Amino acid sequence: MSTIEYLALPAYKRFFYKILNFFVAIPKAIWRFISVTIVGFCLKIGKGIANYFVRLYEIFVSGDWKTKLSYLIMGFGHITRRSYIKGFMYLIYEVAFLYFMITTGIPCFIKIGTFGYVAQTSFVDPIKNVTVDVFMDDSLMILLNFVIAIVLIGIFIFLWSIQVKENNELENLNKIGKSIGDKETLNSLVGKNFHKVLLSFPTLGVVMFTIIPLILMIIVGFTNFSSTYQNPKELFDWVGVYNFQKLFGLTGDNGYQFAYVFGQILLWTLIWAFFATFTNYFLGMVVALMINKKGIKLKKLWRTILITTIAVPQFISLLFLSKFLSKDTGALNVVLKNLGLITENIGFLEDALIAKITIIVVNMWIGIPYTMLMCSGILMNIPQDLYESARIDGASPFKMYMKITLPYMMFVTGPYLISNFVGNINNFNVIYLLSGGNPQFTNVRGTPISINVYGAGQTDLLITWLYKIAMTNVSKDYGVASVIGIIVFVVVASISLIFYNRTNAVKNEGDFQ
Amino acid sequence: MSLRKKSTLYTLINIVSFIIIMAFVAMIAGKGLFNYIGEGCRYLYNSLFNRQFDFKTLVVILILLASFSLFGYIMFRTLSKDRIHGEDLIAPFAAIIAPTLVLAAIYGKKIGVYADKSKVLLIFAIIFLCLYVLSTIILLVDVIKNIMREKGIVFVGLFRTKKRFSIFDNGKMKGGKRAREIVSRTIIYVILIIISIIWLAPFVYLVIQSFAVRYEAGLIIPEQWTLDNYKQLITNITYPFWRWYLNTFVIALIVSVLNTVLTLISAYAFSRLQFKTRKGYMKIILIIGMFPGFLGMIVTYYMLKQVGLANGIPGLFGLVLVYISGCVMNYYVAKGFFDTISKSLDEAAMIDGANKNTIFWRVIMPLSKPIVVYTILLAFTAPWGDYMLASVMAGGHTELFNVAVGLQQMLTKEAGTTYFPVFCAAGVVVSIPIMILFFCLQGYYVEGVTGGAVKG
Repeated sequence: MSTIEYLALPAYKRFFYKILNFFVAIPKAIWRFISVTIVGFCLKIGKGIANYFVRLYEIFVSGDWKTKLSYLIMGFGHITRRSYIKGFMYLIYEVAFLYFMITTGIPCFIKIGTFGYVAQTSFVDPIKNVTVDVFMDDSLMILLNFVIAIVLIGIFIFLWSIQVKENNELENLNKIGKSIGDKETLNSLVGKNFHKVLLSFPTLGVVMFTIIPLILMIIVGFTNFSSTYQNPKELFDWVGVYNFQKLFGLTGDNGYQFAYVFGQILLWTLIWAFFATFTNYFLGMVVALMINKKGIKLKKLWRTILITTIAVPQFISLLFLSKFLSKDTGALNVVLKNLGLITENIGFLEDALIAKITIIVVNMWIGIPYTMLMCSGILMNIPQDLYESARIDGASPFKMYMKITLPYMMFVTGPYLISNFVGNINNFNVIYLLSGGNPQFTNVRGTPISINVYGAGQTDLLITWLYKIAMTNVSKDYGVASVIGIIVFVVVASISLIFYNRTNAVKNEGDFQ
Repeated sequence: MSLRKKSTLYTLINIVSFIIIMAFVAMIAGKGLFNYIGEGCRYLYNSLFNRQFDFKTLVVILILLASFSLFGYIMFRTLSKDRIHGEDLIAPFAAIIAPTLVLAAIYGKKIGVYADKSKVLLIFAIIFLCLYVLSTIILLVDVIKNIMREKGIVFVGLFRTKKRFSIFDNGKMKGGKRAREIVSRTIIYVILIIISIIWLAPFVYLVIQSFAVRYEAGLIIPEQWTLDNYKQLITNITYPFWRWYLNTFVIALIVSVLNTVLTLISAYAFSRLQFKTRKGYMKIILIIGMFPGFLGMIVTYYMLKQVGLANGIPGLFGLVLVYISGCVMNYYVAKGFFDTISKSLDEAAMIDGANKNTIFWRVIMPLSKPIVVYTILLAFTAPWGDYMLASVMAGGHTELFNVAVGLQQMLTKEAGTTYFPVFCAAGVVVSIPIMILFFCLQGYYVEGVTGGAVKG
């Protein structure tokens, strides 16, 4: 259909036509995604790897004996070409790497299939004639060393290829009578390679305390590591996707309870994140608008009062409120009773639905000041001539808000909203310190089912559930905990991917209109 | 009467009446103020809707109506001045508290329980009422004068003033527009006052409770006051608060220094240095950030245990390590700030022969005071509020808790409300330094919050 034909259609037909087009375009889009994106990506990766090996091969063939030897002894070329510091660094790394691999790495690779052979054994000491316990294999240590070994291998391959390429460069420079000595290497650290100096320590921290534990924990998701298989007395073992099955209720024997609870908690996590983000955002904006309104006095006083909530550590106000709102001993209930507004105590944190509402309201109390601060800064940046011209055109304040303020705010604070949403999915403090995830889930007969679901409560988020499983619950089923962690990642990643792409699209459109 | 004289008189009356009200509140608050008010409300309701209408009720209703309508006006008057004195703020609250107390006093007799006190209350109420009526008359005159002036009538004589006194900023506005402006401002002020009360009330209650001998849900203001709770913070053996405080303080100090340096240098690297892996690196950090940090924490604990950094004093250093290890992930806000600094500065310095290290410390840093302060502030306050990581690292050892974990122990279900006043005292002790820090550095904080969100 041509454009003119399309425009000639009545409005409702255009609407249907659009819908039809949308569905027609789906297979095409999927095909495009597969053929262009995925295949292209694979091709790119494959080409990259192939090029890499070809380059290494070329260097090997064309290089002199020093370069060739540095394929075996890292940094040999550097040392023989007067770049001592770099050369020795490479050499030291290689020696340390080989030492680690031979002493711990390779045994771990052998044992990883069963996480060791014997955890604990005892023998009778022939001299003292007493039984002595000996701890042999520690499954967690084997796993840890395995992961460290893999990371070290990755680093080794990376460094190795880099030093080969550098050797090639050095060789070429030598041919025209130049060289890169130690002085140049050191100088480049505050010039060309300054980023390496700056980022080396932070990267080390991230690799050691974030990346390695994360990889390890993801692997743990496929094992039965729990308090039953506590190291060092017991070995744990691979269980395949059993933990994932458990999450989706495929393990028989009350398995459906687990799946039900998981679904409820996931749903509540999303609902919570949505409400927590948007109530704070809009109400904070409204408060900011009110305070910043022309002619309102004492702007600083209002702002300072709200900032008090930020200044007092969150956990204090949360713990305090948890007592303040409690059913039996809470002051709020007594006050309401004395005022004659209620006759029976309300379970602000004991009744599931009310508890959820309370949590969102308390979160508003905590979060609005942040948004208010942020918004008042941005509101001052909105060009006033926009309002001026709108006023001349006769727009009402509400219309001005909808057409100028809100789009501007959305445009500027889009990334903040997404990160805030993600932050709320992982908002541990508000839930754990306020309600502790309570009340418990119950079955049809009204008896709590907390044992089967590792103490999950109705106001638990995925993150607090994860914490409970790994920390406070007796069984400490780390396998399930890490599966939940993976689920959190999937949720967070998909949400941020979708929305980041959207906001980028907005950005690409250019400036705020 | 000149304006100055009048406002002096007005202020005086307000102060006196406020003192009386406060004495009044202090006297009956502990004895069930809410009972009085609640019963009064109920009686009023009964007499209105069960046709037991009497003269007294009518008077009370009139007082209530007058005072509520006056409340709005006084609020305006007070707030529309260019300079506001503390005592001016008392007036509106006096206007709202007064009728409530009158109500309590008049109907307190009906309950019978407090019959003996009721006479005293009534005397107070009458004294107060006289003062209140006086100030009301003055204010009413003001209102009438304002209305007259608006209509173009100039009142010359007893209440003549030389200065033109307008309660609104935009004196140029006319007719309906001005009326609408008044209405909208009234609404906003009322909302803001309610918001302020909601936001401050818990803290006031926290401070008051920290002086209570024991927690009693019914009493907003405790019967007996004591400083024992603050003493217990040091002397209590089960809950060694001073130890937790020290732990947190030391950790916060170390972390704030290290974290700031590391965050800023990585933000600088991402903002200014052009290197091949820059974008990829930032993407990887984004993806890692999507995993819940707690997931790796369990393993980290075992790892640190293996190195001997999980128990005793080294355990605290383990916690420091964990806190600072993730600091590269917080580059976002600082990077946004660095991006706004003009790159021509770098180039100029480069031409003068500075290397990148010098540029960072000598050119960028002096210009980035707000973001440095913001990062320090955030890094310093973060360990105070962290529960999750600290509880893992402490591993159940009381001497390794930070304040958050420790204070949570005080309020568990098993502990009940026994330690609630002690908790409140601890809360006050923890909050005050951070609060002072915050209020001193408020400007920087606002700048950081705004800057980070806008420039992302």
